[in-house]
Amino acid sequence: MNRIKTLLYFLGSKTLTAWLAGVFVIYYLTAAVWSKEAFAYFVSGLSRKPVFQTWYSLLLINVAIRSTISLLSIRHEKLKVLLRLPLYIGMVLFLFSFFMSLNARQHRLIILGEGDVFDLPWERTMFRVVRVESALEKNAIRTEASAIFDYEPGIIISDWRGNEYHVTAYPPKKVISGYMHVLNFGIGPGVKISRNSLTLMKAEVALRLTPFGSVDKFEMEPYTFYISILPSGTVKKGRETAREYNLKKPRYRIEIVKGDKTITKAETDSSVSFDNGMRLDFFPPADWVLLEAVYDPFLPWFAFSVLLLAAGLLIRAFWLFSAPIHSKRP
Amino acid sequence: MSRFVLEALFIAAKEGVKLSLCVFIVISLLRRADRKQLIGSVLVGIGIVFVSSIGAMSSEATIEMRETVSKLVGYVFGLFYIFSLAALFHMSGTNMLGPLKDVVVKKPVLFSLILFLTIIYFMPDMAGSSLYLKDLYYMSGRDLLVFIASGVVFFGAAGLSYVLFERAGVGVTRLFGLPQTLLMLSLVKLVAGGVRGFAEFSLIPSVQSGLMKLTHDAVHQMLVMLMVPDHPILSVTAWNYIGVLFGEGAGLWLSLLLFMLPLGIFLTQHFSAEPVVPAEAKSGAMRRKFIKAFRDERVLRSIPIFVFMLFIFSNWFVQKGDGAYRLYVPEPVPAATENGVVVIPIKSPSKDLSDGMLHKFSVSIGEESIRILVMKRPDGTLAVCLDACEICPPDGYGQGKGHVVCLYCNTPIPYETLGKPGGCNPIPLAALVTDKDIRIEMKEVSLKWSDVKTGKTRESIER
Repeated sequence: MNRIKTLLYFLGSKTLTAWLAGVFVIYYLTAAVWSKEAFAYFVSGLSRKPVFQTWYSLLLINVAIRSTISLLSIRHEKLKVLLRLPLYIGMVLFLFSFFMSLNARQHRLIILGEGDVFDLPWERTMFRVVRVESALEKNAIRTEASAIFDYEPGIIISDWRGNEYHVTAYPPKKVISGYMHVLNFGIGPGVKISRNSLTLMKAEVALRLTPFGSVDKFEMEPYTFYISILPSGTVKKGRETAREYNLKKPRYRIEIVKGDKTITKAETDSSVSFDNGMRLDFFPPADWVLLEAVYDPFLPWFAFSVLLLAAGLLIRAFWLFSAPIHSKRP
Repeated sequence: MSRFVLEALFIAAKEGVKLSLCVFIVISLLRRADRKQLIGSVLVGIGIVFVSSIGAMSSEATIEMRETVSKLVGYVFGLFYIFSLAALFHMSGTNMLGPLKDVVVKKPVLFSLILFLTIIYFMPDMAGSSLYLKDLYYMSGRDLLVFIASGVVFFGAAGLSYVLFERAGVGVTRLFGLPQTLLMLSLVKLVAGGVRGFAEFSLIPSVQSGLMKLTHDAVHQMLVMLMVPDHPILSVTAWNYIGVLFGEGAGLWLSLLLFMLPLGIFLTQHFSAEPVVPAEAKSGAMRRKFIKAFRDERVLRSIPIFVFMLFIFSNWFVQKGDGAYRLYVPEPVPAATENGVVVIPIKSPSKDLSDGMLHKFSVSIGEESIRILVMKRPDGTLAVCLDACEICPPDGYGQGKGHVVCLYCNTPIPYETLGKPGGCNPIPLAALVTDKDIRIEMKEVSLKWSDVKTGKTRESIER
């Protein structure tokens, strides 16, 4: 019994807090000076390496016991307890949910366009993309100082029961048991490749063509197609010149490579012929998004703990600064 | 007198004064603590350091060895700062030694400990400075005056300043208990720990960039956990607000807070501790006298800590203007292309890519200008990368001390890791480096640049 008491006393001691802090600082210092990326290695270690997990568990236990002891020591001063509660609970919850989140999180990145169907390993239902909300004006104007996107992109998806969810970049949307948000947006040119009127391929290819001018490629054996979007025209206002991009019918620069030889270079908004009888046609592009889907039962706890911690710190700071006023005696 | 001899004199004087100041503080502490018998371990340690410095000077120093010595200086500063914090908290009632409490006070243990600390404290500085003196000797065209003058000045400065400290500093040593001594030693190292002559006097810029990297990484991790999208997609909306957390100001203040917080906590504990009046002090006058002495001692012992904090606080922002943030950002020079290959000569009348400076080149694809950076790494090889990071918008990099720095998010990237993929490192390019030039396939440049601008690289990080 005495041994358990001694162990509990040690686990809740300032000495252990100081040792754990010291161990982290020495680890960080050593890793940062000698091998770099110390923090990233530490975070990934929390979900993989028993040494890091043990250190973290000890810290969590230590903080939990110390917070409890602190609260018990002021239990008769109800106002004090109430004001300190957010900080203590916030701290413990933050450490707990961060650790659990790192270890329990499942994560998928999916490129999606309108009409696509997808499923996730942690959901029983499938999803269909109802609509993609574009991040770009259909007639986009760009200067050197322009942002990459005009709007924050979004997506509307429905589950198999017909429930619809509107997912944007931020904040993440709760969709059944997981969370989703849009991580990136792009344009997928519609292409048809044919040989002597025989269609070999027809699809919308999700390429990274924004910021405009970026070159991306797609392949169809033995050809590689390098594509970028060109301005449809320029707009002049005073001294400034802006480029105009018509995204209903974009103008493309295309380079077709066969093996290691460039066989065709062209600028077009409709079609290009190449390699004796081959033809590439463009039809209106579609928008696509990169969706990040996460299953993390501890994410709400983590977000809540961040809020609690921030509130607790503010109250604590306010209390500390106002303490001399409270304690002034006549 | 040549510039090289002048710089050698400066190094020698600095190291001499530093040595005597540190030895004086430590010996004063041992005398006051009635541990005079341990002074021997300090002297033995210094003797070992001298011998090793001569050894370092006469050995064939590789670039790796120089880098190791330079890193050790910063590392030892960090260790002494941690030791001083531990000692401060121990003195204010938190038992930091646990079961080791009875072991460390034994004489052989103390002797070995002091010897070890003396060696690790002085060795990197002395070895680093010796290597730099050797460089100066060669750069001056093997002028022996570099060694002779620096030797004379070193011993002269050390002896003279020790005598001065002995005469003037006796009263001041009252301020220094063990924690204050350790803190002062770390301060000395921070202020004058540079081992590259005029070019590097203090360690503040490197400590600052290390701490800023920690705060940047912690903020970034929080955002990833909370599923906040990275830079490009939020640039028109929430990024304007979230970006504040990655800004220069936030990083500077957060890192300062991180550095000062333990000392602030200690001071709060230190000044809120109530005096425990011994039972022998029976009369009111004796009790009052004891309490007065307790409070005086408390104020005196906190002075070195306030000095440390004040020094850091004032220099943090001065260095911000002069060191960490005054980056060298060269204008990109247009590079020639031959049959779809970018060709950059390693040496030309106006440029030498092996000079250790950051070099930028531009190539055009259509209307777009793409930047390439080339820099010599500490191992002597050339790093060839895009002037863009995998995460941020492609603002490029500037050169700081020991790091290149991402101009968008201020993340410092050590020279050694240039050319390695991942995180905020510049994206490496596959290049053929010969004796004469660097050759990069235009397609490689174009594809990697396209990945950057569309955020494809970021996805691979997420995966």
